[in-house]
Amino acid sequence: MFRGGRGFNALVQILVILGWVCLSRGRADEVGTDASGVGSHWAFLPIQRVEPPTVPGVSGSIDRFIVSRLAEAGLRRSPATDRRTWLRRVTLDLTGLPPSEAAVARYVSDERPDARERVVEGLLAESAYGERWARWWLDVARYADTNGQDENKVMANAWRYRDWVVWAMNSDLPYDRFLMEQLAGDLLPSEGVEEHELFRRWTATGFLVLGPKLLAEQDKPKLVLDVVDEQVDTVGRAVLGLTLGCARCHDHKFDPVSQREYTGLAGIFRSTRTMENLAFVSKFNERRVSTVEELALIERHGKEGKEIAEGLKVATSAAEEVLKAGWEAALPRLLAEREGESDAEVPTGLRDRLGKQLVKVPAMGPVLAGLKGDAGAVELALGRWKKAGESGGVVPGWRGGAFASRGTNRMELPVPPGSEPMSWTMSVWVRRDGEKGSGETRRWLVSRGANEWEDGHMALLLDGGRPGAYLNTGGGREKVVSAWGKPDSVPVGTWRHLAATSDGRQLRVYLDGIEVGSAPVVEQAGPGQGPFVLGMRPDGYVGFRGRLDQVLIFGRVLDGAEVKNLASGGTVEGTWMARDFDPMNLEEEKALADGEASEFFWGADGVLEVADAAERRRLFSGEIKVAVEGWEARQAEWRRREPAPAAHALAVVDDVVTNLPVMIRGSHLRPGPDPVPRGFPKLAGAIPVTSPGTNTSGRLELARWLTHPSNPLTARVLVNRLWQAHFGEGLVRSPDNFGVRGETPSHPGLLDWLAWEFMASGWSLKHLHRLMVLSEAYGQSSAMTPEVAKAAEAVDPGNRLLHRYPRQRLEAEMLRDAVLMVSGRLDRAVGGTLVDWKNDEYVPGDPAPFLSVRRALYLPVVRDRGDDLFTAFDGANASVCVARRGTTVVSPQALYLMNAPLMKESAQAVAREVTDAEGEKRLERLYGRVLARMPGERERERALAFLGDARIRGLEENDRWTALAQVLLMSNEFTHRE
Amino acid sequence: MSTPIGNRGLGKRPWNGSRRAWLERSALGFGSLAMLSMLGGKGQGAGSALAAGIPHFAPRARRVIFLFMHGGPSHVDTFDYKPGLERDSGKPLPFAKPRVQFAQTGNLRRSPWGFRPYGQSGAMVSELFPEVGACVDDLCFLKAVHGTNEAHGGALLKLHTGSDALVRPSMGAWISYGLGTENANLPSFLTINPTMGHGGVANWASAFLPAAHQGTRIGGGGTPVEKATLSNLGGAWDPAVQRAQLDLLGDLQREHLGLTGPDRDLEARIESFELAFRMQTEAPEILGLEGETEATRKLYGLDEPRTASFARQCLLARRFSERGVRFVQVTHGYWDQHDDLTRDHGRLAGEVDRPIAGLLRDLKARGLLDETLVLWGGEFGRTPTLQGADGRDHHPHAFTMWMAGGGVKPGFSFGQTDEYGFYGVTDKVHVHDLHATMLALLGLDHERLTYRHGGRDFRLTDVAGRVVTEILA
Repeated sequence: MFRGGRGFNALVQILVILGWVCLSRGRADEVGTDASGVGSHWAFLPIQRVEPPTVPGVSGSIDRFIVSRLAEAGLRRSPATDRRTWLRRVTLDLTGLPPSEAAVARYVSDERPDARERVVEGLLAESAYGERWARWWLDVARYADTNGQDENKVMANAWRYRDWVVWAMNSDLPYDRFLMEQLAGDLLPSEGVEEHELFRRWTATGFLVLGPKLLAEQDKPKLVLDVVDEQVDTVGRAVLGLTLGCARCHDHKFDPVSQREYTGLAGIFRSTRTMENLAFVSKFNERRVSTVEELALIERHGKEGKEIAEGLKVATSAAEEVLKAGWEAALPRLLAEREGESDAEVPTGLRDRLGKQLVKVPAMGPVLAGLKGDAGAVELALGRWKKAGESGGVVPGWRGGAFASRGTNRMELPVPPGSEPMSWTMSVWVRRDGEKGSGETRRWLVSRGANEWEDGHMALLLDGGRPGAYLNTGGGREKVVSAWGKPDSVPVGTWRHLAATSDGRQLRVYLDGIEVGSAPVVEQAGPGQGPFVLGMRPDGYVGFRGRLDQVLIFGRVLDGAEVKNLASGGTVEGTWMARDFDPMNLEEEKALADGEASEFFWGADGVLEVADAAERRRLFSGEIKVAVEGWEARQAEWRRREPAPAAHALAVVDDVVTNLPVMIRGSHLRPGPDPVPRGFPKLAGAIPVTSPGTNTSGRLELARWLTHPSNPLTARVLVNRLWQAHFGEGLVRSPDNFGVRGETPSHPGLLDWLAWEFMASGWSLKHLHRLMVLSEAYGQSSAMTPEVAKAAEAVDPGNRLLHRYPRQRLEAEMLRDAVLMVSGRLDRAVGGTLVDWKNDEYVPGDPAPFLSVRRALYLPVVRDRGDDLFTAFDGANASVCVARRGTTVVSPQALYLMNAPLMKESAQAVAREVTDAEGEKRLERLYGRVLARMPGERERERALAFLGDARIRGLEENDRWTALAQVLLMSNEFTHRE
Repeated sequence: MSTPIGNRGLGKRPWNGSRRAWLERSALGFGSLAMLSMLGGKGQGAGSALAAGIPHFAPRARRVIFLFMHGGPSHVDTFDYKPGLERDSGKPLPFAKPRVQFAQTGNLRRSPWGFRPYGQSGAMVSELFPEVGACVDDLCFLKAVHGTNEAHGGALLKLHTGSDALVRPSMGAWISYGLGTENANLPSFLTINPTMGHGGVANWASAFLPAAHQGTRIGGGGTPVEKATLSNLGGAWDPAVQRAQLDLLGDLQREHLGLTGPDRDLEARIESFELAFRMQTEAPEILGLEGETEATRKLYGLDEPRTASFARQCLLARRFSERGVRFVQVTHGYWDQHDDLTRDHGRLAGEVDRPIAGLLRDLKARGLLDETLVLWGGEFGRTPTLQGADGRDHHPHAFTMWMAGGGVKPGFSFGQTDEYGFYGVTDKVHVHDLHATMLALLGLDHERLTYRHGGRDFRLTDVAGRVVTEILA
């Protein structure tokens, strides 16, 4: 660390830098005896079987190591902490979630001698265990759902790797196997292995694909070698605790791995296919992970769908033939009826008979509107008689006319002056014609405000056939709230009803009267700007092609029943603005679009235009209706059986086997003369595994080398990082650097004992957890009593000897999940993905998944887009292998706790949870929920005084309790493992 | 190594963690200085965390304002006047193009804009920048800057972090790490309206440096500049309610501390809420532009729709800078004219010319220019050869950046490109050299400003970098 140029330190600094810059001419396997000390470095010596020292009165192996070191230093360990604190500590550590009040009560009163063991076994068996410890591994696996770097493309299948890690943790997959599958899952013996198991192994190799890549690097050979370098570096840091990447350019005096050895390793990854292509913007590799049966099912289902669609089509055309015959029969009579009418004033009698579906088009000549066949068998609605050759006019709508949106035209509904409601509803009937061209598929139907990044923008839109709504709360990409229904739920050519509502808390979107999507609104939207615009985004971006009818805008939220009513043709009073498109005058008509191609033509002198297939469908009756309904029912049933689409996972395969030459100064433009055989660094002793053969990349051999019991690093690095997770710091405080310049272990014997024990247990992580969390060292009090302080100050100020339990702040994910958990908002669903972003496309500015209340593990990890919570609370940088997170104390953390929507909403939820109690009882409930304990005497006084404080007395009661709940959520006691 | 904490009635108590570890966690932070001085008593003296804040040698500048032109403005259409290009327009480039190109380009193409000399120094500036042109006697041009990456993402990362292949701290983070902060109530490194693409956060991240040094983003990602603010800066409650909350919190925390015994992290957390509360007061005041005169607003071009947005950014840069923020970056884009260069470079220059000149004049008038280093430039230049009908491609091989104030020679130009502006010919300045020079101006030795990570000492300039002493005043 830079400390300026003072005396001895500066000299050391210079020497160190010199050593680091200088090229070492020797190869690493020859430097064993040189001054660098690489050869005799502790971490490269074989792992020893160490007997724990004998300490009277101490039985646990870990504790014998700890207590004997403390005794050497003249220190004693701290007394055991209280039961509640221990339970909160261990529950957070093993599951990432705080214990419930009930769990605390259960454990505190559990008198059985093995109560602690029971708790630990229970926690290890929870699926939450795998979620918590998956995240721990994902830190070193630099897991992300997007590429980051230059081209931030979505890796839409990355989550399968994440779910694999959760599965591996929960099933306690032995760590050697865990590594082997990630490095070479595709190369493991596969004879007789079930296909799903094979896919699981392939998915595990996603580990190698996850890294950030300069996809637009135009020097493609460099891109390939950069990917290889990233893989070597990640494996080095994550598994071996070595910074191998540094050897890319030249040898380093203090590194155990020479450039030549680096090149041998790099050859293994160069012989592996990580990129699917090297196009202008290149694409990462993926493999299909659906079985032949699944694919066959998908195909069968598709085929069946086509058959059903064909059957439906035949039945429908037959039905339409019948309709058509009915119309043809009725036509002369209708024309006769209308004869002599000089204008469009339709006789009242006719109107009554025909019901509401009457269209009045004064300027368009004879009107032929809805009519009913004599026997009531045929009902014709929304027809219009148009003279041949006449092109202008109204297009038929869902009822009456409609606004024909051609993608280039728009219509505006000016907003009347007056107050701007904060709650609103937009309702519209829509028929889409389908989008032209490729690229952007979103189409704004009804919206206000330039675009979705403008504060106050509200929109009802379609993304292809997917209904959605936008609301911007504050301006900017991050403030876009969006709610989406299902893809393809609005097919081309049918009239459907869409609505969106917002009450300032929730944005909802409805299709045909049913809520199909919603999203929480956490901030207040500004007032909308300008008129409502129909048919395109107000700033003119992409227009909608199709028809819009009966646009209704309400200055309040309609409830589900009211929306349903609208969707079934009913009316709801009190619109703010409405446009029905029954053309009433020329002026309006001008605003409407030209009529489009008619669907039926009869006769030489005129055209009868009928709305559309859906409209005609409503007119079917009798037998033909039954036939069509039969097919429709089959189709609906077929849809319900829809199998999951073909799945893909990030995965590697072997490529052409290549031995790389040493690249002089790491540059691919300056290759050395000879290819270096693929192989492994020597480190200390030789590890008896076969070298990579000529037919495979050598990843499997590498995995065997890494997990061989003679490898001195793999087990040590792992147990150290696990120790760090439970005790705040590792026994070696540089968890990703076990090299000569790393830290030395505080308890070398314990480190080796754990590593040995770990391998002896069959590389079981759960075994290590049990050993650690059931130790007395872990169960100590964290309190700094004057006695502890006195001893610690002199001998162990950094608590390296563990004279007390080291208090630890909750990690970002834990903090968020704990806040959601105590407020009763956490969604505990396991696995899957929260996003439906298109694979290999740029990350959309879609904030919806981030508002999810699933565990933080499932929030998409978008590289290079800072999230407040993870940025402030030292979340892992998803672009690099992170073996140890920061534990900073900075003001943005306070700002987050004070102001982030998550905090206030959760405080509100906590306050709501306790409303059924009064006064002090309510306070007890509040403390119970948040801190799983009763308030102390002084805490009661202070809390009650706070509720009566003049500064908050103006708030409503619930808000006062919310403010109080938030204080508890911000407290050190809540945000730390004590 | 014990230091008593004699503050807030906490009584005398020892450190309960290693001082160094604690300093790494919370030192130099975004508002941690005042806390330090509170906890440590002295704070600013040698031996405290601020030891790292003492420059290696006398600084010429105290702060940096980086005017980043995202997309890559064309050097041959702005500040690098090339009569040869005028003469041979339409002819093929008479020498080899680089091995790796972003796209293929055609023949040489003259600038659509005329150039004329400005000021005492007579520097040639195109019609695109008449207002900046009037300031040339304060500028120090670097005419042969070169990078290594021909795509936006790589070039942005290279320029901001020194590496396009590996995750490295941003230059602003290095400067914050090297010099600490001058104002405890504000972050030491701010980036206003940055792009969220092309590396996004990585361009202002602290990577392995302590998180306190990461850039704090104001706006960006499509947020209109006039609405840009810091994350979570108030808004949840009325300030009076929040004050009451913090009073209760502090009270409960101190009582809790009585049970846990002294703990420096817990104490620092208590103080961090107070700092956050103060920041909530100070930052909005700066963002609000209150107190700026009509004349100042006009000077920057706030009164004109075309320039208002970037004017606001420049004015904010000055306001934060004068209050002690070490590194302020403002971003303007998108200067990526593969086509329609004439129209779009014209429009973009029109948006920034007056605000930039306004900033320079304003800094000068306030006597701040001497201690503020202003840096202007994009991630690369554009090809002197034609792309499409009216475009130029990415060009990292030679391009112009300029500096002003902060101890550089005013009215000076360093480095030359060939007669077409394609390659640097003399006095080339690599991005690493630019970084080394910038650090030197701030009193930091780029070879000594290191951070140990993963067993290696890292530098902003990696193993390269030369201080361009020729431009030091």
